[in-house]
Amino acid sequence: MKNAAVIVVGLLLLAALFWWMKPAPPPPVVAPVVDAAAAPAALPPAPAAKVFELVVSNKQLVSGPAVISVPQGTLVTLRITVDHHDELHLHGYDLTLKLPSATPVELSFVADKSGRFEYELHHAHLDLGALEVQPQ
Amino acid sequence: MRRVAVALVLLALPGMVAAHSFGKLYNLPVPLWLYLYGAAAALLASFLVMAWFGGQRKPLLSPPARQGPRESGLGRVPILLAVRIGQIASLSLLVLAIVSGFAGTQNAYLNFNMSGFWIGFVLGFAYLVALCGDLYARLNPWRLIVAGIERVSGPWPVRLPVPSWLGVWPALLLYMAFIWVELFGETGPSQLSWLLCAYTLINLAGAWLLGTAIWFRQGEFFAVILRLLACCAPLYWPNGRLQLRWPFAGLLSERMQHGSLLLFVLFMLSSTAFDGLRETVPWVKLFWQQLYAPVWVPLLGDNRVETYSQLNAIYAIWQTGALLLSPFAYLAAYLLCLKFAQHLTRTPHSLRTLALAFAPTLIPIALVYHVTHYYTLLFTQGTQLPWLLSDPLGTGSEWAWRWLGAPPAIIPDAAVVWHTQVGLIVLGHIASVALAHQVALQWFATRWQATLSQLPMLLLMLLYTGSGLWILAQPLNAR
Repeated sequence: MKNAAVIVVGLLLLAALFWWMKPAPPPPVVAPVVDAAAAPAALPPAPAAKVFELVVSNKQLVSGPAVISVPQGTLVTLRITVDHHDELHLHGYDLTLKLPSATPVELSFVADKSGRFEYELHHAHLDLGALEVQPQ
Repeated sequence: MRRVAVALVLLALPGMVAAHSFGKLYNLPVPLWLYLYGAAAALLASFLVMAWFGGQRKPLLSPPARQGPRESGLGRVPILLAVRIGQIASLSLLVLAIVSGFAGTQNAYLNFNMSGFWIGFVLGFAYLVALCGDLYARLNPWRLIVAGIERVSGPWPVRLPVPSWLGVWPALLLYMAFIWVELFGETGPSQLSWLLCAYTLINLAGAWLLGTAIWFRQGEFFAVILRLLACCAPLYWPNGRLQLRWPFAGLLSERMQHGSLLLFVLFMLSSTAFDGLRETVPWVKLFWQQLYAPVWVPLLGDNRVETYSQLNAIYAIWQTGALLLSPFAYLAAYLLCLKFAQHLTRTPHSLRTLALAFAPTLIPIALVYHVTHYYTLLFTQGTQLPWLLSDPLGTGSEWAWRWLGAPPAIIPDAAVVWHTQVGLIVLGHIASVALAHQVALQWFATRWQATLSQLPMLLLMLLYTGSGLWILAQPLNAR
């Protein structure tokens, strides 16, 4: 009986500590509405959109972030320029994109899965970077 | 300018931080507040456990022998039948893994053997054993092969008398080689098949030389790991009957006789910690930035382009050295804390006796380290197993489920992963602290001595748990 009481008190203490330390949830990711009155009320708020420019030259990322960090639900656009034609693969989301030489191409998707997803160039065997999607 | 150069060198490292040998981990670093919560919870829980034992008269976790057995409804015959089916499956899967690696596609994600071995066996089966007891003792395919040969040739005698210093050193060396292959080997399906063939030959030779019973207790490292993990299981099988006990209570009846087994347990801890650590920013920066000016420039000169391949070669040795030395770092902390405990309690027991007595209490921490680091692979890659098994060679045959297309990987929500990771680490910490108290009550004359001995042990457990959490919370290197 006493044992059960001690276990319950212990668990309660650990839970209380958890609730005390847990930060307040961040506000949901919504694009700032410029004119609230003009936006049709029926439509759900559009997800925030983010564009990332990546330039690869001589098998190296020469411009753009190595780690892309976005909140879950963001509309992500990767705009990629490579000097040799290649194929981009984003793990986890399992998205591929053919990259012609010296022409910027875009890959747009909603980052709906949280986690850390690496993306690579297949032919160059180049781990280009990682997409970090922070959970809501 | 120098920063840019450093950044370029960092960027140019070709796939050097390839994750776990097979399968992509999608885990995000644990956020700071949750990391701090984990540390605070471990600290709070430690003192709660301490207070508990201070007031306890009866042992909380009695060794299973003292517990009244709870008979299960399962009779002997169905269990024997299940064991026989499991043995056939185990042997067939080993043969299938070897054959599919040689004959099938070399695409690691389409060949059954990579997912079957690295995810199904190394992770999934190990966690099953930690829940259900030492199934492997009966299902070990290599042991079954030897048993089959012995049935024809008669039992193998001990050809080489086993010296007492041998301990589990053969298993530890094989385990270290295995982890090295896992982290740095970059194996594909056919290499894996070669390794499985080689390991089969090693087991045959070991059992032929040392005798079956000794080899599969001291040489075959999967048998050693899984026997230790099975001590954590709430289910166990004395005399083929299913019984229940407290989770982790089996560790109390584990008697370690040899220092090599202690080192083996510490390597279980440290190899997982190292696999996590080597992917973090602080670890990569240490070699490529912090040591660059004071060490590498005087040795090699300050030309990053020219010395790059040399640096890369040194980095490979550096990584291997860190992996192989990691258990000794854990050992140093362990012995230091025990020495302190010995000093505090003025016990007549030697340091060696105490080190072996408390070694099993580290296993819960080792298990939760491993689970938190790898369990998501069971969802992302393990879920592909039935589909892969329908066409193990990956030939895309019509009759297989291949035409269905790969089932979508289940990617657990990152927040759920964080909370399970921290929760499991704290749970493992509590189990280890409680076990250590229990062991202390067995080894020290008075309750006061036992409690006193646990102050340094608490510090040690907090160190192990804290460093595990710290690694989980570090930003990961970009590639």
